[in-house]
Amino acid sequence: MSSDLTADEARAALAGASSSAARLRQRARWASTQMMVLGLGMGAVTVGVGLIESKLLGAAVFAAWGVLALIMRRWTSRRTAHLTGTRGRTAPYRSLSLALYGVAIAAGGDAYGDPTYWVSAAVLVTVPMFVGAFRERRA
Amino acid sequence: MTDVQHPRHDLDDLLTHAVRFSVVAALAAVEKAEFAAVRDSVEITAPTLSKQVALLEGAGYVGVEKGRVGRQTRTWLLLTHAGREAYTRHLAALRRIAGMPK
Repeated sequence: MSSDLTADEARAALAGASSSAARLRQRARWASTQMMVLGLGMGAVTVGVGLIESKLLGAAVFAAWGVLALIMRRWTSRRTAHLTGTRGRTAPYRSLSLALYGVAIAAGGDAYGDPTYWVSAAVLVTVPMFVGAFRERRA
Repeated sequence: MTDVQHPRHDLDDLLTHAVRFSVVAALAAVEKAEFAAVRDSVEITAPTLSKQVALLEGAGYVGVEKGRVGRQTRTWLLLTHAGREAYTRHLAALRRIAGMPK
């Protein structure tokens, strides 16, 4: 059978396989969405920590973050295809966002209640996650 | 006299089947994928995929792993090292036959 394969048949086989691969790859690009959602969550927590005076509301922000993390974990476990190397590609962006969150909290002691500082800090914390999400969408 | 073989000699007999080639091509694009995701991406029925996966698994090209998500059983498919090598060779041969650049 293979000895009869013409150039047109070879091109058709390549095109068919290429579209199957593209469809599965598209399904496996979920890490981008995960990083966008977690990035927004981290930004919201950063703003909440610096601007919310009520201890009850502050606790509610952390509880909401915990719920979001659990929902995303469950959502991730239900993904039906995985790209090669997703963890390795996204880990630096996650680590950088966490590190920036730590720096923002440590340096923001005197800026408590200052929206300029905390909104800027939230944006800074979110940016690495968004960059990672953007790059993962093109992986 | 040159001794250049026709690229058809590099084609893998198992992968000349269009569905099997598509399954392997799809798996080559990911680390692993769930059975239903491969079925939908290749646009075939579950029994057809089962049959072709059994052949590919027998040849050592595809690995099959069972897992659970909650109460649901999941069957994961992944391309083995041998499968990836066979796919790469077959792909290169097809490209040469099609007159496409490598």
